[in-house]
Amino acid sequence: MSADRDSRRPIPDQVRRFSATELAQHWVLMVTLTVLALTGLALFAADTWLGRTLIAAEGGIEARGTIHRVAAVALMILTGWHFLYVVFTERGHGQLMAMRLRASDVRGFGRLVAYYLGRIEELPEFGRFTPLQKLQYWGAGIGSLMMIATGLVLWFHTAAMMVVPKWVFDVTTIVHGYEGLILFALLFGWHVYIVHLSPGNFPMQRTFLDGKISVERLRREHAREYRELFEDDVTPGGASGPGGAE
Amino acid sequence: MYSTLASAIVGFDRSLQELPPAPSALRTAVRVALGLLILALVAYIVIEQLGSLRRRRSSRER
Repeated sequence: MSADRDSRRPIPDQVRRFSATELAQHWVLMVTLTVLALTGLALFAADTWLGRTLIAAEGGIEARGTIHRVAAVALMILTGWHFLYVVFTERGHGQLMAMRLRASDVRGFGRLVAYYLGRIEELPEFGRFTPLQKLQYWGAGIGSLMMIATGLVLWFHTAAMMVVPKWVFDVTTIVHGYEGLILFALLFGWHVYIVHLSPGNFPMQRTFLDGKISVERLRREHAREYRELFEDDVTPGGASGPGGAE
Repeated sequence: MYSTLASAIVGFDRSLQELPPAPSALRTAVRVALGLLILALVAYIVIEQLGSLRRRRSSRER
């Protein structure tokens, strides 16, 4: 065994990808958006059997409104928490920088589709976040900010009506309702599909529970990050590795 | 205080349903945009599923 081989870091089986704080933020987001979606849908579809069923399940129209607003305040607190996290912590700021949209993401997404269409043989190489993950993050982030802004106008409608014309209130009502549907489709449909139901992930990926990802998955889906973490490593099966690897 | 808040909420929920509806053109535009978005999401899922199925088949045949 050469000295060069001995100096290589062992490659672990799993890598910690998300910290406890990031997992906690994800859990709060998951719970608040679920509650907001269910209570919002109840009002959005109040004239249908679905709306009536949801309103009854939520304890009537009075309770529905209260639950919706409590969840909305929780979402606002989470937004503030996330903002402070990505601006004032080194780790959070690094995550935000890695989430920046680049022209290469558009090309990467095009190559991903080309791969599934059989036009290219190799899965494109991505860094810490894939274009699809960035799309979900910014979609959920911008969507949540829009929901908070329009929701506040609707919540304090009397005050809002004193400063904005009726058409702004119309647009706000529509945007809040349909933006909610878009978020619902994006997060509860597409996000759940990509994370848990897509090929290789079914029936469930455990990263949202423990923040970890297998090194094999990291190598396949985040090849550039894998190289940054393990650059010249070729020794598989070690117990620990760099940068939070476990 | 709770009853004041609750009645304001109930009043708002009712007033929201009693407001004159927004222009139908605006509703239609938003619905079309939402439909296109959902179509794009579904198209991605179909492409990924078919591509994955094709690759699994070809790797079995090798």
